[in-house]
Amino acid sequence: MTCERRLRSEFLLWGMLAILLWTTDLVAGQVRCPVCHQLFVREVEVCPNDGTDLTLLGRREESETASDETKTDTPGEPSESRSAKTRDSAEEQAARKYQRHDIGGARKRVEPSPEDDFGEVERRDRLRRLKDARAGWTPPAPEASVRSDDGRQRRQQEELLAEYAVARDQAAADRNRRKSQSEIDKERRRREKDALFRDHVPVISMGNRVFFMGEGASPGVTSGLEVDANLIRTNVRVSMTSFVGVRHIEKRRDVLFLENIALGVQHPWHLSPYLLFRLGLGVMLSERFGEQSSYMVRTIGFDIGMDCRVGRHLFLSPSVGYTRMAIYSAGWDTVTFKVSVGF
Amino acid sequence: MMLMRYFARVRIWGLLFLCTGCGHDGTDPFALFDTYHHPDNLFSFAYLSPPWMHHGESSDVHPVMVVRVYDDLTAGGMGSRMRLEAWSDPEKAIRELAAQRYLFWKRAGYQVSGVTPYANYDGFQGLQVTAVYPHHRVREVFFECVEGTVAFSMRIHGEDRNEDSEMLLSSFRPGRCGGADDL
Repeated sequence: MTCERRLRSEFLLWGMLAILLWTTDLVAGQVRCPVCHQLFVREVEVCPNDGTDLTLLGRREESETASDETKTDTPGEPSESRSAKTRDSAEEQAARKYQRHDIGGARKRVEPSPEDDFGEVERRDRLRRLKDARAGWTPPAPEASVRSDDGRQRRQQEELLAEYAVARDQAAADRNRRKSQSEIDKERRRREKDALFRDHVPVISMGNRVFFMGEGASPGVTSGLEVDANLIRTNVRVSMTSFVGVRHIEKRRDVLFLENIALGVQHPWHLSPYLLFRLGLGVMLSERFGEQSSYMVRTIGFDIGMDCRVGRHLFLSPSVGYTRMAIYSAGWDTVTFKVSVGF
Repeated sequence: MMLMRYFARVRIWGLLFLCTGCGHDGTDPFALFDTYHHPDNLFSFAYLSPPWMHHGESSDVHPVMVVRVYDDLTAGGMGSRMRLEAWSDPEKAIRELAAQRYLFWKRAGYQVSGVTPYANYDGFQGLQVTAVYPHHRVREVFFECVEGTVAFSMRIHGEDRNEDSEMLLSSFRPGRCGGADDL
Protein backbone atom coordinates (compact mmCIF):
# COMPACT_ATOMS: atom_id res chain seq x y z
CA MET A 1 0.00 0.00 0.00
CA THR A 2 1.31 3.34 -0.88
CA CYS A 3 1.62 6.13 1.66
CA GLU A 4 -1.18 8.00 0.11
CA ARG A 5 -3.56 5.15 0.49
CA ARG A 6 -2.51 4.64 4.12
CA LEU A 7 -3.18 8.24 5.01
CA ARG A 8 -6.59 8.11 3.36
CA SER A 9 -7.61 5.04 5.35
CA GLU A 10 -6.41 6.49 8.63
CA PHE A 11 -8.32 9.68 7.91
CA LEU A 12 -11.48 7.75 7.26
CA LEU A 13 -10.97 5.69 10.34
CA TRP A 14 -10.45 8.66 12.63
CA GLY A 15 -13.31 10.49 10.98
CA MET A 16 -15.69 7.58 11.53
CA LEU A 17 -14.44 7.26 15.07
CA ALA A 18 -14.96 10.93 15.64
CA ILE A 19 -18.39 10.78 14.15
CA LEU A 20 -19.19 7.76 16.25
CA LEU A 21 -17.97 9.44 19.40
CA TRP A 22 -19.75 12.61 18.54
CA THR A 23 -23.01 10.81 17.93
CA THR A 24 -22.71 8.70 21.02
CA ASP A 25 -21.81 11.67 23.06
CA LEU A 26 -24.74 13.57 21.67
CA VAL A 27 -27.29 10.74 22.29
CA ALA A 28 -25.88 9.40 25.54
CA GLY A 29 -25.86 12.91 27.20
CA GLN A 30 -29.66 13.34 27.26
CA VAL A 31 -32.30 11.82 29.45
CA ARG A 32 -36.00 12.62 29.61
CA CYS A 33 -37.90 12.74 32.83
CA PRO A 34 -40.95 10.43 32.73
CA VAL A 35 -43.08 12.78 34.95
CA CYS A 36 -42.44 16.27 33.67
CA HIS A 37 -41.13 15.09 30.24
CA GLN A 38 -38.27 17.51 30.29
CA LEU A 39 -34.88 16.72 28.78
CA PHE A 40 -31.79 16.79 30.94
CA VAL A 41 -28.18 15.93 30.36
CA ARG A 42 -27.00 12.57 31.44
CA GLU A 43 -25.20 13.96 34.41
CA VAL A 44 -28.45 15.04 35.99
CA GLU A 45 -29.39 12.22 38.30
CA VAL A 46 -32.51 13.69 39.92
CA CYS A 47 -35.13 15.70 38.16
CA PRO A 48 -35.25 19.12 39.80
CA ASN A 49 -38.97 19.54 39.10
CA ASP A 50 -40.41 16.48 40.77
CA GLY A 51 -37.47 14.61 42.24
CA THR A 52 -37.66 11.67 39.89
CA ASP A 53 -34.60 9.45 39.91
CA LEU A 54 -33.42 9.87 36.30
CA THR A 55 -30.72 7.25 36.58
CA LEU A 56 -33.42 4.63 37.26
CA LEU A 57 -36.51 6.04 35.63
CA GLY A 58 -35.12 8.49 33.09
CA ARG A 59 -35.66 7.61 29.47
CA ARG A 60 -32.68 8.00 27.23
CA GLU A 61 -33.64 10.18 24.35
CA GLU A 62 -32.83 8.83 20.76
CA SER A 63 -33.39 12.09 19.00
CA GLU A 64 -30.49 14.38 18.14
CA THR A 65 -32.53 17.35 19.38
CA ALA A 66 -31.30 18.83 22.61
CA SER A 67 -32.10 21.85 24.77
CA ASP A 68 -29.84 24.80 24.64
CA GLU A 69 -28.55 24.29 28.08
CA THR A 70 -27.59 20.65 27.35
CA LYS A 71 -25.62 21.23 24.10
CA THR A 72 -22.17 19.82 24.26
CA ASP A 73 -19.11 21.29 22.60
CA THR A 74 -17.85 19.94 19.22
CA PRO A 75 -14.69 17.88 18.93
CA GLY A 76 -12.93 20.77 17.20
CA GLU A 77 -13.30 23.17 20.05
CA PRO A 78 -10.27 24.28 22.00
CA SER A 79 -9.55 22.50 25.22
CA GLU A 80 -10.03 25.57 27.41
CA SER A 81 -13.59 26.01 26.38
CA ARG A 82 -14.12 22.29 26.73
CA SER A 83 -12.69 22.29 30.23
CA ALA A 84 -14.72 25.36 31.08
CA LYS A 85 -17.89 23.72 29.88
CA THR A 86 -16.95 20.61 31.74
CA ARG A 87 -16.42 22.62 34.90
CA ASP A 88 -19.76 24.35 34.42
CA SER A 89 -21.62 21.18 33.87
CA ALA A 90 -19.90 19.72 36.88
CA GLU A 91 -20.92 22.74 38.89
CA GLU A 92 -24.43 22.55 37.61
CA GLN A 93 -24.41 18.87 38.23
CA ALA A 94 -23.34 19.40 41.80
CA ALA A 95 -25.96 22.06 42.23
CA ARG A 96 -28.67 19.86 40.88
CA LYS A 97 -27.39 16.86 42.76
CA TYR A 98 -27.53 18.56 46.13
CA GLN A 99 -30.61 20.57 45.42
CA ARG A 100 -33.72 19.26 47.23
CA HIS A 101 -36.78 19.53 45.18
CA ASP A 102 -39.12 19.26 48.16
CA ILE A 103 -37.73 21.98 50.40
CA GLY A 104 -37.68 24.97 48.16
CA GLY A 105 -34.82 26.24 46.11
CA ALA A 106 -35.21 26.13 42.38
CA ARG A 107 -38.30 23.99 42.53
CA LYS A 108 -40.25 24.31 39.39
CA ARG A 109 -43.92 23.82 40.00
CA VAL A 110 -46.37 23.25 37.31
CA GLU A 111 -48.71 26.16 37.52
CA PRO A 112 -52.33 25.12 37.11
CA SER A 113 -54.15 26.54 34.24
CA PRO A 114 -57.12 28.68 35.06
CA GLU A 115 -59.53 26.10 33.82
CA ASP A 116 -58.08 23.38 36.12
CA ASP A 117 -59.94 22.86 39.37
CA PHE A 118 -58.25 22.65 42.74
CA GLY A 119 -58.67 18.92 42.91
CA GLU A 120 -56.81 18.33 39.68
CA VAL A 121 -53.97 20.57 40.77
CA GLU A 122 -53.75 18.67 44.03
CA ARG A 123 -53.64 15.38 42.13
CA ARG A 124 -50.80 16.51 39.90
CA ASP A 125 -48.87 17.82 42.83
CA ARG A 126 -49.35 14.59 44.70
CA LEU A 127 -48.10 12.65 41.72
CA ARG A 128 -44.94 14.61 41.53
CA ARG A 129 -44.23 14.55 45.21
CA LEU A 130 -45.13 10.96 45.86
CA LYS A 131 -43.27 9.70 42.74
CA ASP A 132 -46.46 8.01 41.70
CA ALA A 133 -46.01 7.04 38.04
CA ARG A 134 -49.48 5.62 37.90
CA ALA A 135 -51.01 7.78 35.28
CA GLY A 136 -54.20 6.01 35.57
CA TRP A 137 -54.92 7.18 39.15
CA THR A 138 -58.32 8.63 39.37
CA PRO A 139 -59.81 10.75 42.13
CA PRO A 140 -62.28 9.11 44.53
CA ALA A 141 -65.99 9.22 43.92
CA PRO A 142 -67.75 12.42 45.01
CA GLU A 143 -69.78 10.56 47.67
CA ALA A 144 -66.65 9.24 49.30
CA SER A 145 -65.14 12.66 49.28
CA VAL A 146 -68.29 14.11 50.87
CA ARG A 147 -68.23 11.48 53.62
CA SER A 148 -64.62 12.16 54.25
CA ASP A 149 -65.43 15.88 54.36
CA ASP A 150 -68.22 15.27 56.93
CA GLY A 151 -65.89 13.24 59.07
CA ARG A 152 -63.24 15.87 58.80
CA GLN A 153 -65.73 18.60 59.75
CA ARG A 154 -66.97 16.57 62.71
CA ARG A 155 -63.44 16.06 63.92
CA GLN A 156 -62.73 19.74 63.46
CA GLN A 157 -65.87 20.61 65.46
CA GLU A 158 -64.90 18.30 68.27
CA GLU A 159 -61.47 19.80 68.35
CA LEU A 160 -63.00 23.27 68.47
CA LEU A 161 -65.29 22.29 71.36
CA ALA A 162 -62.36 20.82 73.25
CA GLU A 163 -60.37 23.95 72.67
CA TYR A 164 -63.34 26.04 73.86
CA ALA A 165 -63.64 24.02 77.06
CA VAL A 166 -59.97 24.42 77.77
CA ALA A 167 -60.20 28.14 77.07
CA ARG A 168 -63.25 28.49 79.31
CA ASP A 169 -61.56 26.76 82.21
CA GLN A 170 -58.52 28.86 81.73
CA ALA A 171 -60.63 32.03 81.71
CA ALA A 172 -62.29 30.99 84.96
CA ALA A 173 -58.92 30.32 86.50
CA ASP A 174 -57.76 33.71 85.33
CA ARG A 175 -60.81 35.37 86.87
CA ASN A 176 -60.16 33.71 90.17
CA ARG A 177 -56.56 34.76 90.08
CA ARG A 178 -57.57 38.29 89.29
CA LYS A 179 -59.79 38.45 92.42
CA SER A 180 -58.67 41.28 94.56
CA GLN A 181 -56.65 40.59 97.64
CA SER A 182 -59.28 42.24 99.79
CA GLU A 183 -61.91 39.81 98.63
CA ILE A 184 -59.58 36.95 99.39
CA ASP A 185 -58.95 38.30 102.86
CA LYS A 186 -62.65 38.80 103.37
CA GLU A 187 -63.37 35.24 102.37
CA ARG A 188 -60.62 34.00 104.63
CA ARG A 189 -62.02 35.93 107.60
CA ARG A 190 -65.51 34.59 106.92
CA ARG A 191 -64.24 31.04 106.81
CA GLU A 192 -62.34 31.53 110.03
CA LYS A 193 -65.44 32.94 111.67
CA ASP A 194 -67.58 30.04 110.50
CA ALA A 195 -64.97 27.65 111.75
CA LEU A 196 -64.97 29.48 115.07
CA PHE A 197 -68.72 29.06 115.43
CA ARG A 198 -68.50 25.47 114.29
CA ASP A 199 -65.98 24.86 117.00
CA HIS A 200 -67.92 26.60 119.77
CA VAL A 201 -71.62 26.14 118.99
CA PRO A 202 -73.25 22.73 118.75
CA VAL A 203 -75.37 21.80 115.78
CA ILE A 204 -77.83 19.74 117.78
CA SER A 205 -78.33 19.33 121.47
CA MET A 206 -80.56 17.21 123.65
CA GLY A 207 -81.43 17.76 127.25
CA ASN A 208 -83.97 18.05 130.01
CA ARG A 209 -86.11 21.13 130.65
CA VAL A 210 -88.05 21.73 133.85
CA PHE A 211 -90.71 24.36 134.48
CA PHE A 212 -93.90 24.74 136.54
CA MET A 213 -97.59 24.79 135.59
CA GLY A 214 -99.32 24.65 138.95
CA GLU A 215 -102.96 23.87 139.68
CA GLY A 216 -104.46 24.52 143.08
CA ALA A 217 -102.04 23.41 145.74
CA SER A 218 -99.97 21.34 143.33
CA PRO A 219 -96.85 23.04 141.89
CA GLY A 220 -97.40 21.28 138.59
CA VAL A 221 -93.77 20.30 137.95
CA THR A 222 -93.37 19.72 134.24
CA SER A 223 -90.24 18.06 132.95
CA GLY A 224 -89.36 16.47 129.71
CA LEU A 225 -86.96 15.94 126.86
CA GLU A 226 -86.03 18.84 124.63
CA VAL A 227 -84.13 18.63 121.38
CA ASP A 228 -82.57 21.74 119.85
CA ALA A 229 -81.36 22.14 116.32
CA ASN A 230 -79.27 25.23 115.65
CA LEU A 231 -80.06 26.25 112.12
CA ILE A 232 -77.91 29.35 111.98
CA ARG A 233 -74.71 29.55 113.99
CA THR A 234 -73.18 32.98 113.64
CA ASN A 235 -73.47 36.01 115.87
CA VAL A 236 -77.19 35.52 115.25
CA ARG A 237 -78.51 32.19 116.39
CA VAL A 238 -81.69 30.62 115.08
CA SER A 239 -82.84 27.31 116.40
CA MET A 240 -85.83 24.98 116.41
CA THR A 241 -86.83 23.19 119.58
CA SER A 242 -89.05 20.21 120.25
CA PHE A 243 -90.22 19.43 123.76
CA VAL A 244 -92.16 16.47 125.11
CA GLY A 245 -92.83 16.24 128.79
CA VAL A 246 -95.21 15.33 131.60
CA ARG A 247 -97.01 17.70 133.95
CA HIS A 248 -97.54 16.28 137.42
CA ILE A 249 -100.79 17.38 139.12
CA GLU A 250 -101.38 15.30 142.25
CA LYS A 251 -102.83 12.09 140.85
CA ARG A 252 -103.18 13.39 137.29
CA ARG A 253 -100.52 13.33 134.56
CA ASP A 254 -100.81 15.66 131.59
CA VAL A 255 -98.63 15.15 128.52
CA LEU A 256 -97.19 18.22 126.85
CA PHE A 257 -95.87 18.59 123.29
CA LEU A 258 -94.29 21.89 122.33
CA GLU A 259 -92.58 23.23 119.22
CA ASN A 260 -90.57 26.41 119.65
CA ILE A 261 -88.54 28.63 117.40
CA ALA A 262 -85.80 30.69 119.00
CA LEU A 263 -83.97 33.75 117.79
CA GLY A 264 -81.08 35.30 119.61
CA VAL A 265 -77.48 36.38 119.74
CA GLN A 266 -74.36 34.49 120.69
CA HIS A 267 -70.69 35.15 121.10
CA PRO A 268 -68.32 32.35 120.20
CA TRP A 269 -65.72 31.59 122.79
CA HIS A 270 -64.62 28.66 124.87
CA LEU A 271 -67.70 29.41 126.97
CA SER A 272 -70.14 30.74 124.41
CA PRO A 273 -72.95 32.69 126.06
CA TYR A 274 -76.22 33.20 124.27
CA LEU A 275 -79.53 34.95 124.71
CA LEU A 276 -82.56 33.51 122.96
CA PHE A 277 -86.16 34.62 122.61
CA ARG A 278 -88.57 31.75 122.11
CA LEU A 279 -92.04 31.44 120.63
CA GLY A 280 -93.91 28.20 120.63
CA LEU A 281 -97.07 26.28 120.02
CA GLY A 282 -98.08 22.96 121.35
CA VAL A 283 -100.74 20.71 122.76
CA MET A 284 -101.46 19.34 126.19
CA LEU A 285 -103.21 16.00 126.57
CA SER A 286 -105.12 15.68 129.81
CA GLU A 287 -107.51 13.11 131.22
CA ARG A 288 -110.42 15.03 132.73
CA PHE A 289 -113.69 13.46 133.90
CA GLY A 290 -112.39 10.12 132.63
CA GLU A 291 -112.00 11.43 129.07
CA GLN A 292 -108.86 12.30 127.12
CA SER A 293 -108.99 15.97 126.18
CA SER A 294 -106.49 18.12 124.28
CA TYR A 295 -105.79 21.79 124.77
CA MET A 296 -103.68 24.12 122.64
CA VAL A 297 -100.74 25.66 124.46
CA ARG A 298 -98.97 28.89 123.57
CA THR A 299 -95.58 29.84 124.94
CA ILE A 300 -93.34 32.86 124.88
CA GLY A 301 -90.16 33.45 126.79
CA PHE A 302 -86.43 33.81 126.78
CA ASP A 303 -83.42 31.75 127.73
CA ILE A 304 -79.93 32.70 128.87
CA GLY A 305 -77.39 29.97 128.56
CA MET A 306 -73.90 28.97 127.68
CA ASP A 307 -72.38 26.41 125.36
CA CYS A 308 -69.36 24.90 127.10
CA ARG A 309 -67.02 22.78 125.09
CA VAL A 310 -66.07 19.77 127.20
CA GLY A 311 -64.52 17.61 124.55
CA ARG A 312 -63.56 17.53 120.96
CA HIS A 313 -67.12 17.01 119.80
CA LEU A 314 -69.12 17.45 123.01
CA PHE A 315 -70.86 20.49 124.46
CA LEU A 316 -72.57 21.01 127.76
CA SER A 317 -75.25 23.72 127.67
CA PRO A 318 -76.98 24.82 130.85
CA SER A 319 -79.58 27.54 130.62
CA VAL A 320 -82.15 29.34 132.70
CA GLY A 321 -85.06 31.36 131.47
CA TYR A 322 -88.58 32.61 131.80
CA THR A 323 -91.65 31.28 130.01
CA ARG A 324 -95.24 32.39 129.84
CA MET A 325 -97.52 29.40 129.13
CA ALA A 326 -101.14 29.91 128.11
CA ILE A 327 -104.14 27.67 127.54
CA TYR A 328 -107.28 29.50 126.50
CA SER A 329 -107.27 32.60 128.68
CA ALA A 330 -105.39 31.01 131.56
CA GLY A 331 -101.70 31.69 131.86
CA TRP A 332 -98.72 30.44 133.86
CA ASP A 333 -95.55 32.44 134.53
CA THR A 334 -92.73 30.09 135.24
CA VAL A 335 -88.98 29.85 135.50
CA THR A 336 -87.40 27.22 133.32
CA PHE A 337 -84.21 25.26 133.79
CA LYS A 338 -82.47 23.26 131.16
CA VAL A 339 -79.34 21.17 130.86
CA SER A 340 -78.45 19.69 127.51
CA VAL A 341 -75.66 17.87 125.78
CA GLY A 342 -74.72 19.01 122.29
CA PHE A 343 -72.70 17.77 119.31
CA MET B 1 -103.87 44.74 99.51
CA MET B 2 -102.18 41.41 100.01
CA LEU B 3 -99.39 43.18 101.83
CA MET B 4 -101.89 44.77 104.19
CA ARG B 5 -103.45 41.38 104.87
CA TYR B 6 -100.01 39.96 105.56
CA PHE B 7 -99.17 42.68 108.05
CA ALA B 8 -102.59 42.33 109.64
CA ARG B 9 -102.02 38.62 110.07
CA VAL B 10 -98.61 39.29 111.59
CA ARG B 11 -100.13 41.78 114.02
CA ILE B 12 -102.84 39.33 115.02
CA TRP B 13 -100.40 36.54 115.71
CA GLY B 14 -98.15 38.94 117.53
CA LEU B 15 -101.02 40.07 119.72
CA LEU B 16 -101.99 36.48 120.35
CA PHE B 17 -98.55 35.74 121.62
CA LEU B 18 -98.16 38.99 123.47
CA CYS B 19 -101.48 38.42 125.18
CA THR B 20 -100.55 34.89 125.97
CA GLY B 21 -102.72 34.19 128.93
CA CYS B 22 -103.78 37.78 129.40
CA GLY B 23 -106.75 36.42 131.34
CA HIS B 24 -106.72 34.80 134.72
CA ASP B 25 -104.19 32.85 136.65
CA GLY B 26 -103.60 29.36 135.39
CA THR B 27 -102.97 27.95 138.83
CA ASP B 28 -106.67 28.27 139.66
CA PRO B 29 -108.20 24.78 139.60
CA PHE B 30 -111.04 26.19 137.53
CA ALA B 31 -108.66 28.03 135.18
CA LEU B 32 -109.62 25.95 132.17
CA PHE B 33 -113.34 25.69 133.10
CA ASP B 34 -116.19 27.56 131.52
CA THR B 35 -118.89 29.05 133.71
CA TYR B 36 -122.62 28.81 133.31
CA HIS B 37 -124.66 31.71 134.63
CA HIS B 38 -128.40 31.56 135.04
CA PRO B 39 -130.08 34.32 133.03
CA ASP B 40 -131.76 35.59 136.20
CA ASN B 41 -128.58 35.13 138.19
CA LEU B 42 -130.14 32.37 140.32
CA PHE B 43 -127.14 30.03 140.22
CA SER B 44 -123.91 29.28 138.43
CA PHE B 45 -121.45 26.47 138.11
CA ALA B 46 -118.17 25.68 136.30
CA TYR B 47 -117.82 23.01 133.69
CA LEU B 48 -114.96 21.87 131.44
CA SER B 49 -115.72 21.69 127.76
CA PRO B 50 -114.53 19.40 126.34
CA PRO B 51 -115.61 16.85 127.55
CA TRP B 52 -118.91 18.33 128.75
CA MET B 53 -121.42 19.10 126.02
CA HIS B 54 -124.90 20.61 126.09
CA HIS B 55 -127.68 18.05 125.65
CA GLY B 56 -130.77 18.56 123.54
CA GLU B 57 -132.90 18.85 126.66
CA SER B 58 -130.85 21.83 127.80
CA SER B 59 -132.49 25.24 127.98
CA ASP B 60 -131.42 28.64 129.13
CA VAL B 61 -132.90 28.24 132.60
CA HIS B 62 -132.47 24.46 132.92
CA PRO B 63 -129.05 23.42 131.61
CA VAL B 64 -128.40 19.75 130.91
CA MET B 65 -124.92 18.57 129.95
CA VAL B 66 -123.52 15.13 129.23
CA VAL B 67 -120.16 13.43 128.76
CA ARG B 68 -119.69 10.67 126.18
CA VAL B 69 -123.11 9.90 124.82
CA TYR B 70 -123.38 6.24 123.78
CA ASP B 71 -127.17 6.09 123.46
CA ASP B 72 -128.88 9.12 122.01
CA LEU B 73 -132.30 7.86 123.07
CA THR B 74 -131.39 7.61 126.73
CA ALA B 75 -128.60 10.13 126.87
CA GLY B 76 -130.57 12.14 129.33
CA GLY B 77 -130.89 9.10 131.54
CA MET B 78 -128.60 6.15 131.39
CA GLY B 79 -127.41 6.75 127.85
CA SER B 80 -124.30 8.75 128.74
CA ARG B 81 -121.35 8.23 130.99
CA MET B 82 -121.94 11.43 132.97
CA ARG B 83 -124.86 13.81 133.14
CA LEU B 84 -125.51 17.00 135.00
CA GLU B 85 -128.43 19.37 135.26
CA ALA B 86 -129.29 22.39 137.34
CA TRP B 87 -132.66 23.98 137.99
CA SER B 88 -134.50 26.18 140.41
CA ASP B 89 -137.74 25.49 142.23
CA PRO B 90 -139.32 28.71 143.51
CA GLU B 91 -142.19 26.93 145.24
CA LYS B 92 -140.37 24.47 147.46
CA ALA B 93 -138.10 25.00 150.38
CA ILE B 94 -134.70 23.32 150.53
CA ARG B 95 -135.72 20.51 152.88
CA GLU B 96 -138.92 19.81 151.00
CA LEU B 97 -137.07 19.56 147.71
CA ALA B 98 -134.33 17.44 149.20
CA ALA B 99 -136.89 15.06 150.70
CA GLN B 100 -138.74 14.87 147.43
CA ARG B 101 -135.57 13.89 145.59
CA TYR B 102 -134.69 11.39 148.27
CA LEU B 103 -138.02 9.62 147.79
CA PHE B 104 -137.61 9.80 143.99
CA TRP B 105 -134.36 7.88 144.00
CA LYS B 106 -135.59 5.53 146.66
CA ARG B 107 -138.54 4.48 144.56
CA ALA B 108 -136.22 4.09 141.56
CA GLY B 109 -134.39 1.36 143.42
CA TYR B 110 -131.31 3.34 144.36
CA GLN B 111 -129.64 2.96 147.71
CA VAL B 112 -129.98 6.44 149.14
CA SER B 113 -127.76 7.47 152.05
CA GLY B 114 -130.10 10.18 153.23
CA VAL B 115 -130.14 13.96 153.25
CA THR B 116 -126.85 15.33 154.65
CA PRO B 117 -125.32 18.80 154.99
CA TYR B 118 -123.05 20.03 152.22
CA ALA B 119 -120.64 22.94 151.72
CA ASN B 120 -119.49 24.00 148.28
CA TYR B 121 -116.09 25.35 147.13
CA ASP B 122 -116.92 28.79 148.47
CA GLY B 123 -118.11 27.39 151.76
CA PHE B 124 -121.76 28.02 151.13
CA GLN B 125 -123.93 25.65 153.14
CA GLY B 126 -126.67 23.47 151.70
CA LEU B 127 -127.94 19.90 151.59
CA GLN B 128 -126.97 16.91 149.51
CA VAL B 129 -128.49 13.57 148.56
CA THR B 130 -126.32 10.65 147.46
CA ALA B 131 -127.86 7.64 145.72
CA VAL B 132 -126.04 4.54 144.55
CA TYR B 133 -127.07 1.91 142.08
CA PRO B 134 -124.94 -0.88 140.67
CA HIS B 135 -122.54 0.85 138.26
CA HIS B 136 -124.42 4.13 138.73
CA ARG B 137 -124.08 6.95 141.23
CA VAL B 138 -126.03 10.14 141.79
CA ARG B 139 -125.00 13.28 143.71
CA GLU B 140 -127.45 16.14 144.17
CA VAL B 141 -126.91 19.35 146.11
CA PHE B 142 -129.46 21.97 147.13
CA PHE B 143 -129.10 25.56 148.22
CA GLU B 144 -131.78 27.76 149.66
CA CYS B 145 -132.51 31.24 148.48
CA VAL B 146 -135.29 33.76 148.98
CA GLU B 147 -136.87 33.00 145.62
CA GLY B 148 -136.93 29.29 146.28
CA THR B 149 -134.41 26.50 146.06
CA VAL B 150 -131.73 25.84 143.48
CA ALA B 151 -130.62 22.27 142.81
CA PHE B 152 -127.75 20.62 140.99
CA SER B 153 -127.74 16.94 140.06
CA MET B 154 -124.91 14.86 138.68
CA ARG B 155 -125.14 11.25 137.55
CA ILE B 156 -122.02 9.20 136.91
CA HIS B 157 -122.17 5.86 135.20
CA GLY B 158 -119.57 3.21 135.92
CA GLU B 159 -117.18 5.49 137.82
CA ASP B 160 -116.10 5.72 141.41
CA ARG B 161 -115.62 9.05 143.10
CA ASN B 162 -113.73 11.26 140.68
CA GLU B 163 -111.84 14.34 141.75
CA ASP B 164 -112.97 16.28 138.72
CA SER B 165 -116.59 15.40 139.45
CA GLU B 166 -116.22 16.50 143.02
CA MET B 167 -114.63 19.73 141.91
CA LEU B 168 -117.40 20.42 139.41
CA LEU B 169 -120.06 19.64 142.02
CA SER B 170 -118.42 21.97 144.48
CA SER B 171 -118.44 24.77 141.91
CA PHE B 172 -122.25 24.99 142.04
CA ARG B 173 -123.22 28.13 143.90
CA PRO B 174 -126.42 30.02 144.31
CA GLY B 175 -126.75 33.46 142.84
CA ARG B 176 -128.09 36.70 144.24
CA CYS B 177 -130.79 34.85 146.00
CA GLY B 178 -128.18 33.14 148.10
CA GLY B 179 -126.49 36.37 149.01
CA ALA B 180 -123.65 35.85 146.60
CA ASP B 181 -123.87 38.90 144.36
CA ASP B 182 -120.43 38.59 142.79
CA LEU B 183 -121.01 36.04 140.06
